[in-house]
Order: sequence, then structure tokens, then C-alpha cells
Amino acid sequence: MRWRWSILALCALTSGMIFESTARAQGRRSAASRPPGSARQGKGPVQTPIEEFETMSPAEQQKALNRLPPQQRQKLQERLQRFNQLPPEQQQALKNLYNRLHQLPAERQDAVRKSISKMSQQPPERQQAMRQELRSMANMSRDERQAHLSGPEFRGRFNKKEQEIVRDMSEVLPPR
Amino acid sequence: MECPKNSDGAELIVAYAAGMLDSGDQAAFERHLKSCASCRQMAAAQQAVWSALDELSPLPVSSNFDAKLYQRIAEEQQLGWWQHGWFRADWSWRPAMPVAAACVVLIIAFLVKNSGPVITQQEQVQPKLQIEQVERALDDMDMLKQAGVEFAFEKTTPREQI
Repeated sequence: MRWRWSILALCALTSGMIFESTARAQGRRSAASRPPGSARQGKGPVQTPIEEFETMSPAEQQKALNRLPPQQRQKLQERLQRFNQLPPEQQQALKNLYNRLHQLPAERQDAVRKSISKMSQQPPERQQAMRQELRSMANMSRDERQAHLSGPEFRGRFNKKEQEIVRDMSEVLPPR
Repeated sequence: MECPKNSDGAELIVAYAAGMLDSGDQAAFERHLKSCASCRQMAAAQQAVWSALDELSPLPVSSNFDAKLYQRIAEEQQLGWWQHGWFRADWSWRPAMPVAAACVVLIIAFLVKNSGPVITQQEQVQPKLQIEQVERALDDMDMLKQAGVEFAFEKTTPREQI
């Protein structure tokens, strides 16, 4: 009987070890599958991939760039250079907008991207009107924006397509 | 007589010790034994085995041994498969111990090999950056710049707390 209990104890011990190992592996997998920045949501400033790239050492940056074909690598370096030549406040505003966009669920992010694309296809004066609308909404609270978007004044000034564009794009505006 | 060790001698020596040789062969082998110390030694050892076997007496068998044996066979055949192994009181677990120990060693080796360091908060905070993520971020920022809504953040603190 002693042998029997010993073997049962060994089985219990090994089961526990396997369970613990599996749980740990799952933890590693889920951490690895998270997009950059998502682990930090709600824990202070969020770094964009561009900022993460810039905090890498030159050797690490080169190693990452070397994974791209030469032409693509050169294009990316030029785009980074252009971004870094923007005024610092504009860079920061774009990074903040990027972070706002990436806080949204994936389907809403796609909706915002589509609406921005649609806006660029509108006549310049309508684009300007929509930007002006968004500018005024930037100073509103979340509730005020909702009320404004469903109000008659807004509906009177924009057609259905424009209303949808403004509604989608307003989701990247910071809350007041 | 040729020495039995050079041919099929073992059988001859066993037969001699068992007293199964005919008189002619026995006499010839005994003559050989006088001149071959090695065969003499083997024959003596074989005779010692026979003597020991002769001294063994069989264990007494109960009068109803056959009846008990057949009853037990019948009981075994009626048991379910689950009663044949693990839960039999007279089943010996002793042979399973080396197998179980080997399994434990293998599992421990597997765990040691595959268990990396537990992901720390720091590692979760800084996952490895893929260069494609930088490209996608630039795509998004170009798109947002095109939308011309940077004003929304221009009067805020340098870094929005999310």
C-alpha cells in the first residue's frame, strides 16, 4: 500500500508541475502576442512604435532595418527623417492622435481610416468645413459632442456622408 | 577416449552424473576421469547438483488444491478490466516504481529545458519592436496628418496621458 500512495503522490506532483508550466507558457504567449503599447494602457505615457524605434541603440536600429529589402529600407529611413523634421509640437500632436486611434477597437480604427480617406476625396471647401467642425468639437466634452452630432444644426450643415466622416473622425479627438 | 570438453562433452558429463550411461561408456569415461582433472572437477560439480536436487522434498499440497485453483481462475475471468490492474489488493506496485521515477525525471528535464524566465512587468512593457510596426505607424501618422486634425492636441500637455 505504501508504494501505491507514493506513486499517487508522484502523479499529483508531476501534474502540478505540468499545469504550472503550461500556465507560465500561456502567460508568455499572450504577452508576446500583444501589440506594442497595449500592455501599457492606463499606465502613463504610451510610446508609439516610432518612439520605441528611436529609443533603440544605433546597432539595434540597423539590425531592425536590415530585415527589410534595400529599397524598402531606404524609403522607411527617408520617411522617418521627414517625420523628425516636423516641428516638435506637430510630431507630438500626431503621436497623440496615433495613440488615440490605437486605443479604439480594430473595427473603429478601420472606420476612422476609411473616413479620412473619404474626406480627402471631398471638395477642398467641404474638407475645410469638416475640419472646422472637428476643431469646434475638440473643445467639447464627450456628452456635448454626442449631443452636437445628433443635433439639427450639425445635420443641416453636412450631408449624410459628411456627417459619417465627422462622426468617425471625432473619435480620435481627445476628451475634454 | 577423447576429452569430452573437446566435443559434445557437457551432455556426456550430465548423463554420467545422472547415472544414465551404459556400462561401456561409463567405464570408458571413468578411465578418462583418472587422467583428466578438469573433467573430474566438472563431473563432481554436476554430481553435487544432482545430490542437492535429490534432497529437495516437494511441498505438501492441500487436498482441495485443484478445486481452489479452478475457482480462482473462474473468479479472475469474471472481473472487469478495471479490476485487473490498479485496484487489485494483491497487485504489486513495486515494478511500477522505476517506470514512475523515469517518467518524473523525464518530465523534470522537459520542464527545465522549456521553462524560460517568467515574463516580468518590464518585459511586458517593452515587447520586441518589429520594423513593420514602425512602417504602419508612419502610414497612420501620414493619414492623420492628411486629415489635418493635429489642432486637437496642439494646446494640450506635451504628452497626453492615456
